Amino acid sequence: MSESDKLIRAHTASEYAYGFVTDIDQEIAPKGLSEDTVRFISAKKEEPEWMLAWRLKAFRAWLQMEEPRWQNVHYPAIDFQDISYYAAPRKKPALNSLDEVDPELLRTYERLGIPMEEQKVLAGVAVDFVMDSTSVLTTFRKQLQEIGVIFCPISEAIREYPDLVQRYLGTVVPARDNFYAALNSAVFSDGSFVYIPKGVRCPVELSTYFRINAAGSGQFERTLIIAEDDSYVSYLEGCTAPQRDEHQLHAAVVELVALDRAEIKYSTVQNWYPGDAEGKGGVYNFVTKRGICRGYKSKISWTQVETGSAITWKYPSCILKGDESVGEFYSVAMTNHHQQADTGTKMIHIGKNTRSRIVSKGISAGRSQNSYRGLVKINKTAENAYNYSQCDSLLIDDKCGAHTFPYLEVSNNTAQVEHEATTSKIGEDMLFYCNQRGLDDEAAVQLIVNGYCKEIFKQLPMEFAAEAQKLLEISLEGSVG
Amino acid sequence: MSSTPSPPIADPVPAKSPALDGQSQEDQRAPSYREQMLQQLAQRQSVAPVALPFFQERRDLALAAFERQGFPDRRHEEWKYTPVSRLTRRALRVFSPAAPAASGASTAPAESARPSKSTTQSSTWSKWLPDFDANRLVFVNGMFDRQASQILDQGAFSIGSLAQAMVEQPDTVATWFDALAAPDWSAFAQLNTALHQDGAWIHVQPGVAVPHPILILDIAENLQADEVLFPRHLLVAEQGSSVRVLHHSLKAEDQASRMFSVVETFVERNASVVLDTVQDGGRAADCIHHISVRQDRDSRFTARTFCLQGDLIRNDLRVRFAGENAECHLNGFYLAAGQDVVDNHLLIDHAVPHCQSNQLYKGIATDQGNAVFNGKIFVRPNAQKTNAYQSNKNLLLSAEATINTKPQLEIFADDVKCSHGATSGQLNPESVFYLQARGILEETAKTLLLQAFAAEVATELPEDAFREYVSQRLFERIRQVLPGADAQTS
Repeated sequence: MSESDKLIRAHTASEYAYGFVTDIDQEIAPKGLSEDTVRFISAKKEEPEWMLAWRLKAFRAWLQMEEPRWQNVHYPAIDFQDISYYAAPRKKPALNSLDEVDPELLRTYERLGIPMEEQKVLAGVAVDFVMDSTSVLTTFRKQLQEIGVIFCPISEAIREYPDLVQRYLGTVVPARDNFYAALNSAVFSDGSFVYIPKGVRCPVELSTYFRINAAGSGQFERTLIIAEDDSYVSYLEGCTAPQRDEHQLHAAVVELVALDRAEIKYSTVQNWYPGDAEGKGGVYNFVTKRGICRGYKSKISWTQVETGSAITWKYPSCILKGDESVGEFYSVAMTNHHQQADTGTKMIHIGKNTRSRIVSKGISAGRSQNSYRGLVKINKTAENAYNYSQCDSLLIDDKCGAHTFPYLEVSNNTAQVEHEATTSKIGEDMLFYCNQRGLDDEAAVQLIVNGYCKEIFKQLPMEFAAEAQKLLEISLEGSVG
Repeated sequence: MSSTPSPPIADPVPAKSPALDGQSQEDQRAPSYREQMLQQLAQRQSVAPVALPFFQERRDLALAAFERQGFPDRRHEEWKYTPVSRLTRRALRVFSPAAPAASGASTAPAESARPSKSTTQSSTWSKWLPDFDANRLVFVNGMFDRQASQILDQGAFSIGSLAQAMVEQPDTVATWFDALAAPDWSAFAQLNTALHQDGAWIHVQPGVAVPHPILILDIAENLQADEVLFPRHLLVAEQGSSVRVLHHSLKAEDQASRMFSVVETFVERNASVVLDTVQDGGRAADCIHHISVRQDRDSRFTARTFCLQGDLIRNDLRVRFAGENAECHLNGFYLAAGQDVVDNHLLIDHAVPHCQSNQLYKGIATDQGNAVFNGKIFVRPNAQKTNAYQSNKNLLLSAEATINTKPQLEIFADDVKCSHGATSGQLNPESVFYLQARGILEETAKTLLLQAFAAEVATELPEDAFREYVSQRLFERIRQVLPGADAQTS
């Protein structure tokens, strides 16, 4: 019948399309975490002394910290000694062209739906592919280098641009910020580094794909994006993981720094393995993402589509320090089966005339629990700050839950803060209207949900929007009727 | 009706933050409190004998619960914005009349023997209140003041002192007393159960409507610095009955006072209860007020709360739907001026299907005032067809004032309609300009706009002398706190 109908057919059989394992030789650190592990990782990455010292400091801080328990998610205790903190494809090739890439790896790309060559030409997307912990390949680098944009694995940046890294690393998310940020600071193995020089508008969308491949390994990537005065960058992040019975841990840290009049647009499509229908397996996605609008009129915009992970727990935040800076947060969080999500944002208004906007759409189905937790804080100094928040929740099953925990802390009388939230199920009248026009329940629900999320999807670059829509449809599968 | 509280299905309030367990400083302080309390309990027992061992058991259990819990601090999610230290930095002692009545056999709680206290109509407070037809229960420093009280209505209902009722009809009181207690009651509410003094006992028989409203006056007068009041009120509206209760706490002078009060309310099948609370204790009054309500099938409960003045006001209002097709309407207005903290915590527990709840809370914070609002709508699994609305609007009038608001939805059922909205802002300058352009002074314009803002809640009150009184007092407070409006006449 319709296009969406075909799509459903195509995916009815599949629970998790990306649940394949790539059989590449991997170099895996023995399980366990100690100072030696940190030293091992640092040595593997051939890091300078200051980096090792920084890691060790973070590690010692981590030892003193307690695992947080306040969040609205439940999971068995994590044994941090039962995780392997480093896994790298063994044959790390010195690449000049795609032909030299391990063919197995290329097949992985294809299954992920990233046709590299095609993207190179058609989409013009530069991809930094982080499999497990190390960055394998970065396309388009030469072209970017010509205009001064640095886009490389962070391990490389530590070696090649130590000044920049030292100046910004840990300034937005300090090593002792929270339990998982400290852990990440100690053991992060790779991630992306982006530097946009003054006045440069990055001509292509920068993209990274994260994928956890090895069993029993955690992924701790670290992303640092710096946008100098008057620059612009749009960064895309996609995540998948193979299907495994045990839980995998993903604890990333993302730091964004926007200087005067700079704009960073950060989009995420997160599709880590959510566990099977019984809630077995799946990724724990405990991520600290924070950006600081340090400059005048700077802007940071987070867009996320969260459909995967057994547990998603993250709050991409904006510190609006520069006067007239702008923070935005657009989110779709979809949970099904036994998934749990506790996600939202923090908007910290410090500068004058700062503005922020939060649009969050939660969709719960099956037996999942979906929470929005957000903080809007207007400091005394934030004259004429403005915030608008909207959180909507959609419930698709009678066993699931949708929760909203908004915190509004206003300490300036010139601020204007507005918050709205609604929770409801899909209206029977809407369904009936669709049924009447020949759509079955499933197609109708997908149509309605897509309409509900449109506001967020339109923030995404086109290829990503299409993928996000597809992911949502897969996640919705079997939740109706 | 079982006399023991049924354990909650799931704990709607998050567990204490883990940090609270490592309370080393608390531990050092706790024994001294405990000794104080135990001593006071012993003293109390010698004054008023208990008619049923049950009442003593409830005190003991609550004290044990308090000991486990200790006073909350800012690491406790529910007390994040409440400066509890303002209450606990001074020693605590239950108020007791200077000379305890010698005759332990006396049934009614001893009338206060404190000489300075006047218990007659000529008390300072009486001149503030309008003369309107109401049954009046007066409690001065937690003690029932029989002379000042008046009962107009006669019928199939009891209106009187709880302590007296515990002696005269212990079994009836025991059916309800402390039946809503839950492990997650705050330390202050637990302490109230352990140390409660007298309070109102309002029991309306099935099918009966109490003709006049019942005014409960909680008055603090000439308290010592370490004295704390623990008023305890119990309202029971049996099947098909109806009653309106006005609960007014005020204070004679601007001296410090502390009051940890609890109101338990039962709205039985098809009954209707209105509970209007006015908190106007003066600028040094600390008031921790806990209201627990249980609603049975087809019942209706309306609460309107006005927090007009107090150094620290904290209200926990909890409504639990125990039967289908019940509805509640909770409205409130709060004003935080000076260095006041006004904290309203609401919890609507939709435990069964087909219930409806409405909340409208509006607040003004000025000077260095801090207004806190937390309205939680909790929809349990299977509570389908729930309708829950919440609206919280705040105005910030000064650069130092703070608003912390946390509208919260926790929903475990799908066929529901829940929404909330929260805003914080200042007076619309265009509205002020509009009025100015018509020759109205800026201050007057602002006063008018603020009064209009507050009036939305006040006009929920039925049109009578009490509404007149509350509105007047409300407007007076607004004029007082408006910056630069002192010179203004009304």
